[in-house]
Amino acid sequence: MGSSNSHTHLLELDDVRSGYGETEVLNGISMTVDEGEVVALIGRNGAGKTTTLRTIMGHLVPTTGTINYRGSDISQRDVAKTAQQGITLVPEDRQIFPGLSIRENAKISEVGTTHNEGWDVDDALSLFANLEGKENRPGSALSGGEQQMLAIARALVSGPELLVLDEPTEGLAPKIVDEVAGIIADLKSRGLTILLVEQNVETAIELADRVYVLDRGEIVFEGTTEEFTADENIKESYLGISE
Amino acid sequence: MTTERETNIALETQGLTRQFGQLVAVDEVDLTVEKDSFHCIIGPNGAGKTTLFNLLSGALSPTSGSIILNGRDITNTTPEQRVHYGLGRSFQISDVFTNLTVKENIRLGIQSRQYRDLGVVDKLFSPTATFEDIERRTAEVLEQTDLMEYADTEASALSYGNKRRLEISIVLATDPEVVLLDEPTAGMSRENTMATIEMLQGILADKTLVLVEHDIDLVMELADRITVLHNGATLAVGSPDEIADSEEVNRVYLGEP
Amino acid sequence: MSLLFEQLLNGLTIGVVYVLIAAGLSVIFGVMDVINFSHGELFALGAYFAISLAAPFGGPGFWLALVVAPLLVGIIGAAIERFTIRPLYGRNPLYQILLTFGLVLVIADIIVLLWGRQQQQFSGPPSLAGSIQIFGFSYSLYNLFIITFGLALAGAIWYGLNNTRVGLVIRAGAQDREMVQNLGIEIDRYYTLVFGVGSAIAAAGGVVLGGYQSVSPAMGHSVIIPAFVIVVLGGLGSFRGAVAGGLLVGVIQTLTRSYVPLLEGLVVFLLMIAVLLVKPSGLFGDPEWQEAGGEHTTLSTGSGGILSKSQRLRVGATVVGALLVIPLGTNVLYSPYIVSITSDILIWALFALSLDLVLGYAGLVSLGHAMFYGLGAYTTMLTMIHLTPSVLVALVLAIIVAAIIAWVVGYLSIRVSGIYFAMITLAFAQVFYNLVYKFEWTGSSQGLYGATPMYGIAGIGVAVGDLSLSAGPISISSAEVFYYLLVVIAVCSFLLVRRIMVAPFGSVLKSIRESQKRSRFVGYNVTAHKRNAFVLSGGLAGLAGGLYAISNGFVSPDVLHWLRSGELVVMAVLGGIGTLYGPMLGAGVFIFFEDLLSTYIEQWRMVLGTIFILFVIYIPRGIVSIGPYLRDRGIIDITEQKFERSEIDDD
Repeated sequence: MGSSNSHTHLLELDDVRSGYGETEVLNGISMTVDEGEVVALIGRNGAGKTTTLRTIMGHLVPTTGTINYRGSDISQRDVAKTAQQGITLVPEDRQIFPGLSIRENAKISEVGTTHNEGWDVDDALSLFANLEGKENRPGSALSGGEQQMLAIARALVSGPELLVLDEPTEGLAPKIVDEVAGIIADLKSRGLTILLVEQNVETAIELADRVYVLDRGEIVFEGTTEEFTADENIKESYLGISE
Repeated sequence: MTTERETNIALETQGLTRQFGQLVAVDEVDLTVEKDSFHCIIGPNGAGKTTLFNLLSGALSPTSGSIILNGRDITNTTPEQRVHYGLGRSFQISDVFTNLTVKENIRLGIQSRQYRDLGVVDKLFSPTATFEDIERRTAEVLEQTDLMEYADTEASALSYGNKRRLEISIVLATDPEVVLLDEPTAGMSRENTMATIEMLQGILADKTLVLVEHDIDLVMELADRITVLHNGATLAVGSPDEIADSEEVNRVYLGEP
Repeated sequence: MSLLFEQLLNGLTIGVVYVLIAAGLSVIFGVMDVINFSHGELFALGAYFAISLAAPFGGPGFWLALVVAPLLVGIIGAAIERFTIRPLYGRNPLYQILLTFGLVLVIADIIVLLWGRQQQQFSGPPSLAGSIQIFGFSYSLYNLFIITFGLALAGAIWYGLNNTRVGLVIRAGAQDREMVQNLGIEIDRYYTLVFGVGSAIAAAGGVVLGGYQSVSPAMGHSVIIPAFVIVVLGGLGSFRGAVAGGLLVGVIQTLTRSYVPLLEGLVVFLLMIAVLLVKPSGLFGDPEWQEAGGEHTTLSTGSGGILSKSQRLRVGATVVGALLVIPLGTNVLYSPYIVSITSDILIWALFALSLDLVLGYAGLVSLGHAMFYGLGAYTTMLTMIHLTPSVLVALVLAIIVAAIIAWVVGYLSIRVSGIYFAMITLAFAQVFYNLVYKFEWTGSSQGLYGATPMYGIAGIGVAVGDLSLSAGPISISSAEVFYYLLVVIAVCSFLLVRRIMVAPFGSVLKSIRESQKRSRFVGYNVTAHKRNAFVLSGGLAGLAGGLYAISNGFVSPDVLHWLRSGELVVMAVLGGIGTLYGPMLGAGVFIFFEDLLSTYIEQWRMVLGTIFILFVIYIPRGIVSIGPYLRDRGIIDITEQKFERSEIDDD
């Protein structure tokens, strides 16, 4: 791992405002991710989670605020440059290339890696038993769960330092949710830094070290997973969970 | 008995179903919206809310089932015909006629309902300002929606809040009996949300409202009746209190184990 | 039997060349959504480079040319992408179409400048001269070489697309550009490569075809339209489709020429129209392409001038006044030629006004408007020759015929959107262009002439050529009388269309221009309005064509050529669409410059094309936007007068 000093976070958002045109979705959010951590960003639909990720990746340029990665501001970088720095996004709708085979879908990540060594295509695919023996099928032939697995495998091939997962378990059958969660836990145990966006609170607290709760473009809770679990108030008022 | 019941129902669907390939996005939904009520449709992501909304507005046609507006079967009508039968819809992201004035935006809404009755010569050659009735009603709506001072402003120059106001005012201008609202406060801060809801309720005071929304708190405060969707099908229907007490809803939607 | 076989091989020879052109065109569209009109010129450039490269070296020069010419054209193509097309990504695709149209003008003129207008030949390599026996009859060895070479090149590209990293990125980029960027790949760099390689392949096609047929400056823009047909037939963005479509079109063209000459030049367009109507995504296309060319940034300049209502009124009155006094100065201040050029401008202005109705108000990119203009011209001429010399009757018929055809074309094509609509109108126009060649009564390639137009009706009246007026010192020649008729028609048409735009129908069109979706959900039938606007526009274009026929005294198939449709769009955008007066102004500026430049330099198209390219890149909203542009940057200061009430109601 790099020789980051203790004051520099891997990723740090400071008072970031962002949105689409005149519609401001993020009303000044600040958060950090440290090396080796799994950080969950949770909140209801429309809270601004995906907008946060799009802003980090460079699809959106913040109107104010800074985004520091390894101590340098990346808020003005374009998407490809951000990704080359080691931040890899697994988007919400997976965005599997429908006309490429499974193998090609994973292999294309090799092209963009200039930063460091990524996973070997075979190693990445072998993490997922479901993808076995289907390497030459087109991406369009995959089920939702298989697409999610392939999207993670594809991200691994590009050699992420920070893996950004946008709702990886959304719309998946419970059995597949468990499987995907298992893979994420496995990646965590290998020391990969992960920013996990989830609506499914259960999955999120199972995996995360720390939790941010986003509501209507603002961070309304920040703390360790234990603190979050203990805070009934937060769960009830912002996530609609009552015991 | 039956007549009384029928006259009391503004919008109704029977076995409304929409499939995309193998996926059944909306599954046999029977919706009953009473006149002058505020009816909310909620459900988790992927429950079929957007598809249902699009079926009601006419953006999509159903695979099977029917939609009845004020006793008239509108299942096979186009969106523009539905407007003429009294169905209006708003857009989540303000979709106004940007380079036209506020007055012209509203006027287009008013003109819409009378458009078919105009003669060909009038349609083609009479300047819009000569239609006194439309002009007068346009002024009324501008007055009613507090947009009079911006009448000659281009819509593109409006503030965000006024753009939303105009968005809703265009719907009002088409004189709907039932208005479909698609997450009108998505992405707004709490303050803006409440302001927008107040504006909505003020402008559309005497209309039947059907709101598709994911924000439960908002829905619990506003709704007369709530339909909860899950996997495309109706999970529960009832008053906010009934929904809050429903075990099934709590289990599926509110994330209870 | 052997004849059929030979025809099939001939068809394949041409088909393979088509494949080489269409492959690049299709992949360029697939990856970056650019419809490249200049692709045909790059193909021609390949052939011309080959002429210069092969000549000094004799026989082996061909092989040198086959390597070097594509390389050179590839570099030119890459430069074109880098410096002209790149600034336009993210804008409405119409701008890219227009830009590449400007490039057509420029490159075609460069070719004439460097190599002259006459047809040229260069011979293939001596080793491929002669013929070879196959299946018992002899066939040209060179043709077989073309087929083999073309298929091998196509195969190599197919292999490259499917088995290399670069190919992988290109295919992925065509499917989901954003995700490719998410993976850290700078897709922009690949655009230059794709454009360069696509150009090089087309150039290779030009080289091999040059050894088979004569080379002429027109070869670029005569091949581009069939190439579009192939790309649309096969499916925009599909390499397989381009190969299958190219071979299919080559064979069909050759076979119809031999066996059903009546259908030559028609069948492929009819085939394309039929395919588009049944399966808009083409034979091998991905349905998702159908979304291409949807609602992007608004095209229209719309309102936003810097003049107040009364200022505008005054400017308008001044222009009309100037038009009215122009003939008075002839033979005193300037030659009568000025009346003739201003007549041309008025006709083009009317034509441009008709296009603005659909392009600026209904958002329909019609690339086949010359069809209505030409129909009007031919109808007028035929009426005057065969039916009645009455100008009035002829023009009314011209309007009616053009409007009816516009209704039919609109009925069939308005359901397809964006790029497909542009392509389908282009195809319809080509059908009419090729049709007039077919018949005696349309004058075939000779054109139609010999009418004696009359003012009046039913045989009572004065011949247009005879009506001159004189009152004291003022005498008005017959040409000037007709000129005044044009001024009246142009001004009345403008006022009429403007009136329509402030009436309910026009207000709905404006709402469609702003947002089709919203207009629909406010309760307007968008499709019907677009169709009606198209009919109005067609009728008006027919009127312009009819006036041209009377003014010119002669019509030839040229009035239906696609270049005329292209020039019209250029004029409209140059002036500023969606304003009615902008396109008319654009027509005036275009014709004026064309006339001015063509008296001094032969390569006026090159200059005009360059000016136009600069306009598309830097002033996309046209001449009428220059005022606000300068004002916003504080370069000029026009104090806006307080709102003055004027009698004339206005938008």
